[in-house]
Amino acid sequence: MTVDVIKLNIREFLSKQLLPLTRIRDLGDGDSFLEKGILDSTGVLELVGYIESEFGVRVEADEIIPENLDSLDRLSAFILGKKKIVS
Amino acid sequence: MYKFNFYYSLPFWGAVLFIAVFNRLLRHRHMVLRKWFLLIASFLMILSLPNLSLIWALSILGLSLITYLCGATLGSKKGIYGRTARKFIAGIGIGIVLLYLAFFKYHFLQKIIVSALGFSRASSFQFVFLVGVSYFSFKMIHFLVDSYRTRIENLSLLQYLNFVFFFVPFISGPINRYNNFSLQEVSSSRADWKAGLERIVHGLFKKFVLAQILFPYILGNQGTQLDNLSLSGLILGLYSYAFYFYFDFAGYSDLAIGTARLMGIGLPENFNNPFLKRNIRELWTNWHMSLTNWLVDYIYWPIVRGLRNQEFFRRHPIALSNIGMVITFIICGMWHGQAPHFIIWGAYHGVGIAILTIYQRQKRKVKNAILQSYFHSGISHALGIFLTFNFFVFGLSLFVLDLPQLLTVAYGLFR
Repeated sequence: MTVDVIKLNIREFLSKQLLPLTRIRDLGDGDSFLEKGILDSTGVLELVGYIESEFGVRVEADEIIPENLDSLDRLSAFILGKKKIVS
Repeated sequence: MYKFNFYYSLPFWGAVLFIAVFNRLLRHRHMVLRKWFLLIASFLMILSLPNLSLIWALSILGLSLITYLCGATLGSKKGIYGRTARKFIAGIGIGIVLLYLAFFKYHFLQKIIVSALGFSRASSFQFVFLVGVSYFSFKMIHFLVDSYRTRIENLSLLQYLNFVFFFVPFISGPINRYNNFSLQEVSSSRADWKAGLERIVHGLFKKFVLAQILFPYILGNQGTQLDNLSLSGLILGLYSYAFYFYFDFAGYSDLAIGTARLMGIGLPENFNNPFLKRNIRELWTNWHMSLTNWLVDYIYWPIVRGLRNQEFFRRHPIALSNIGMVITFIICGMWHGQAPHFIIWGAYHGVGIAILTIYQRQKRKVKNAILQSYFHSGISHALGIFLTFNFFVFGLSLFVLDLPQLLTVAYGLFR
């Protein structure tokens, strides 16, 4: 699985579950979800649930922090890191 | 020691002017010198607060040193501490801060401890109020949690003491974060002075003109007994209270932000047009923002992370978030006061946000084009603002009136 595929999947999830398409198109890979108002606290938890079911990784409580989740870049790096550990 | 109230008295403004001018004169000197000057000035200013004696100021210094030592240990680059040991050190620090906060915040606890130690008989007990205790405690808890997560940058004892003791936000915030504070130069420019003075003028106008115009009309000040209050009187009282509350606190925040700017220090914003927001979640993220952000980071997220270890909550993120939100707001209510009506007020807002969250998720599933077009229309937006403001205003009755008073008003309205 590549970074691009992960980002595409997350964009699709965000547009289906949380955002209108117009806003998701404006979202840069490095943009902060929290600063841009893309996700509220509930949205973060929904996103984490999606990551676990879609990518087969387990996100621990201590890992639910902006450093891991707060942009497409950070999320894809986090997921790839988790998948490497699993494999 | 000469005593005066912050922001309400001329001696305070005279002292601010002296500190700001002297700080500006030091702008070409070494930053450490400026920070020592600010620390000494802040300590003296805090000592000038009414009801704050030297002994209590020294107790804050002692608490600061304990929390600094915990934070410095957690931030140590040697990395010799395992996860359990790190949690233990952070837990000890946070526990001590919480005990200190609870001692000054809750009368019954203070009475028990003071009587048990034999300093005062229960019958002659006088409650000691420590101004600013919540605000510096919150800053210390943030510092300890972020030290545990190794997020603290540029740590030094001088910076940390300045962070805790900086007199401008000491009594009521805004609640600053360590990294935001420690990385600043504490050196003011001409532009800082211009912006700071403008902000102070805005603050003075809000707090001492607009809020004072509304003050005679707020609930409880209308000259009518609560049991004789008409529905229109109640609505007027609550609406006035909402705007009074806003102008008074947003005015104070302007004064604090503007005064800090005179010393070249940026403080976080506290209000962003909260009464023009479309829903109660947006209102709260724009009302007393530095406290809301603190509650989310240091109450909501720890609760949610803890509960998420259970499989049910892992599979139901909305339920998890809603429970976290209700508990967070109940704690927020308990922080505002000891009486049961504050807990009800907190639960009211927590449940309000929980219902909103469910409604927003259901709204996304609606396929009907007309309804979707309505959801994005100006009418829907305006209705959202109206309903949100009135939800907040109605909630104020739970905040302002205790339970017997609420029953008196309800009885008067419906008899």
